[in-house]
Amino acid sequence: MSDQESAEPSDASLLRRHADGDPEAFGVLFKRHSARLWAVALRITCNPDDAADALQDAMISAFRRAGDFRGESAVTTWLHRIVVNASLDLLRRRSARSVGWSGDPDDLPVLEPQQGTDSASGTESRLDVDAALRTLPPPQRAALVLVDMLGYSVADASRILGVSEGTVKSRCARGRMKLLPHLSHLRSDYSRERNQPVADGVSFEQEGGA
Amino acid sequence: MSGDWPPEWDDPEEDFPSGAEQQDATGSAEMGEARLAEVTAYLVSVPAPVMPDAVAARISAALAAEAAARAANSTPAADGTQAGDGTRAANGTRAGDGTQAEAAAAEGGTGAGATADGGRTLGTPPARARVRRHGGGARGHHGFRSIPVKAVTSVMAGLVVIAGIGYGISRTNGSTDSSSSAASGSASENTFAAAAPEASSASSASASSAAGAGSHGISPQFVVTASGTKYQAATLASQVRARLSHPPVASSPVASNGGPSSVPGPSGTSSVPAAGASKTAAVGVAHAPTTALRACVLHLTGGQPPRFVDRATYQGDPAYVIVTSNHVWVVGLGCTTANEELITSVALGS
Repeated sequence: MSDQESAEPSDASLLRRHADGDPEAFGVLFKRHSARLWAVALRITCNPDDAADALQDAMISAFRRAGDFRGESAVTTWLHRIVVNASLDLLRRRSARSVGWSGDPDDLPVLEPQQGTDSASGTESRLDVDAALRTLPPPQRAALVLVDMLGYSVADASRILGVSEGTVKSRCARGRMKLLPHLSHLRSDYSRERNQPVADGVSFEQEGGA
Repeated sequence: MSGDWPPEWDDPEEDFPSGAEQQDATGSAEMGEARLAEVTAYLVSVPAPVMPDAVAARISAALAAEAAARAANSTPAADGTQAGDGTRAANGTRAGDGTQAEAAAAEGGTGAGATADGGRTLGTPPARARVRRHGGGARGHHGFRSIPVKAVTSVMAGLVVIAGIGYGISRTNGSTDSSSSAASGSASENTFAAAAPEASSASSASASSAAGAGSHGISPQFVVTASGTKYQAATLASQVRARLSHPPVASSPVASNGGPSSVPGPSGTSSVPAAGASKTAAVGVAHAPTTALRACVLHLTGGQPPRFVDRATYQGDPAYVIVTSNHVWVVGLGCTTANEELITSVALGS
């Protein structure tokens, strides 16, 4: 389109080109954000296979619905939102089929971490985090993952999750409270490194609304 | 986040972060913010997982299958660029070789199956957890929506053409000139509409440029019509498709200068009136775009000449409707390159 876009097309430009029939534009877009999208899906689902399913569903959905993108938010926000929805939807289907769960989020069992299923999970502390995250209700987990683990701002997270910023803060706070007992044995290891404030994250909305 | 999830997932107090909630959230004095901050600091320190290559390849293959399917579906209606890329869509994926392409087809089936269920929940995300989702379900109805709309549109457009011809005949009270002009006008429009899908952007540009140069001598690549059409969000795509497939019948020619004139010439540039030629009443008077509008349009279309630009209303508000072979933008009347005033956009591809 423009000269600058020909050098490094923006997300919005790629999405528009995809909607206009460019067969490669969406692939470029996916590659550009795949790492973070994968992290979101994996952290929310807590299972690599489920994350792969959710991410694939989300990408196909985004592929097909690109024409509906109205540009009211950044493309990244839109993509993350679809991935979060796909992940929660998958968990919803799983929970609907699960037996023995009372429905109370506090009664969710602490699942055993799955060794070797995540290429980046090799440490004990990492598995502790995985296990701890599983104890959270998915909505709280999603908020905590976005804000605390992936560094998104509360505002960005609220747009992605489709809830108010207050709700995001509340979910994060509650999630941290629930994680505290699970991670207390690790606090000493990190207390000395904890000089930075609780970051609301780094805003990734570089496009200013796509 | 989602009004559809199990109610057990909802925390009844999370929407009220003040008062007791805040006290609870921030923890007691014993626990304090410091300890919670430690949790955050620890979570931040956990490295982000790396996507396995197998997953990346799998998703790329699924997307390649989607691209191939879309190219196949859109070939009859696509312009030269899109149709020509159909093969590349199948082969030019990150997955790469033919084996992957076959796998992509198989995976695509799985993906489609999954999305049939996911379509309901992966639709337009809700603005608020308890707000009913709107516009969702498009995925599951993707194939359903495209085929019947085309069929229905064709039938309706055909009826409009027939009615228009009959109306023209009755209005002219036996004047064979007028009735034939209506017919010829319709024929020329249809010729243009039928030829356009097969034509490349270049051919459209040449046709538009020729007409534009003839009408105003400033060689715009397109003109702006003022049909007065009342576009609606729910029917935008079908309204545009209807006009693309069957442009309005020239039942009552109106000259561009407001006076009576002869019928449009059979130049195949029906939506772009030549100098002194008339414009159909339904389409209204065409005029050259302003510099700002022209820049805005070409900015949106990526330099591609639009099939038409129509000054109309969208959801009751004045707007420009900009249409290419496979996309529609609705922008405000103040559309410029810097500020598109984009109201909405939809794809016409499939």
